[in-house]
Amino acid sequence: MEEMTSLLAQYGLLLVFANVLLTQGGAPVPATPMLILAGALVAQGKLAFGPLLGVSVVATLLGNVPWYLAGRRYGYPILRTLCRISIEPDSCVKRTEDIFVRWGALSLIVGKYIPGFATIAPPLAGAMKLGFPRFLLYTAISALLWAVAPIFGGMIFHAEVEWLLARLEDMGAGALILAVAVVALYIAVKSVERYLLMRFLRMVRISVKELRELLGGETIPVVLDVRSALARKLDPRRIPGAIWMDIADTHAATVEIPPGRDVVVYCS
Amino acid sequence: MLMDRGYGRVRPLEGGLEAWIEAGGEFEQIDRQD
Repeated sequence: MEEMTSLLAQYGLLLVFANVLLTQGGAPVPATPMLILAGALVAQGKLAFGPLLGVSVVATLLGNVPWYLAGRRYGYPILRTLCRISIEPDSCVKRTEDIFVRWGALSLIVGKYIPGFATIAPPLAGAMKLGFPRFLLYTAISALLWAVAPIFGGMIFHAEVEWLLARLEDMGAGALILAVAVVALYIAVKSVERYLLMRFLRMVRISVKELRELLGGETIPVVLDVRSALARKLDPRRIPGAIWMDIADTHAATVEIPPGRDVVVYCS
Repeated sequence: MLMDRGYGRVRPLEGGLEAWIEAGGEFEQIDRQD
């Protein structure tokens, strides 16, 4: 316990910097436990509050700026790539677009609290050509708010944090095994959910080749473009004859489909 | 959601618009007022 806290007191800022940089850079690593622990060290007088907050903000900016620049440079495809490696890629693009449409630049602040969105928000802001100074300002504010809460939590509950650390140390290697098991279980559940969803979608999806054949045949399907307004703005192309329908708008007029006609939709 | 609105057989396009264009499918530009 003593060794652990002295190590954190000595290299605390560096460890917080590395942890926050990894998290904000998109690695699936939580930063909150480290910030709570750092907050507890602040309460014990082993770490200074100002530099801790400063390091968190700088690491957040360094982690987010490359993604913003990538969004500016490569536009919409970078979002698709990021969503592909996310644990829930199928709802990822649509969900992030909806959040950005609703909140605009403020989504950089709000997004810090929405799982999955924090990584997507900077490239989305870049793709939307949000000005760099504005991006930096909103990201710095969001980093401040995001880091302050767990640091204060650690400062207020430092006695409880120390107690918990002592119990974990009593558990020895068991604590590490427990943590790894919880993470592995979470990933396993998400993977099974995704597998079942993909299996279902494979059964009902239509391939590009199949659609081409249908469009060249007698019974031409109705093609609906159900992308969001933002997605259409970023990629203003469509399959010839496709009809746009905003499925998020429950009051939108429903397109009349003649009986017996297949409907093919694309949402990204 | 579309089926809730009374549509019959609704099939999502695999890979979306990007896959269609990558495969050499024709496309048209969306008019601003569209």
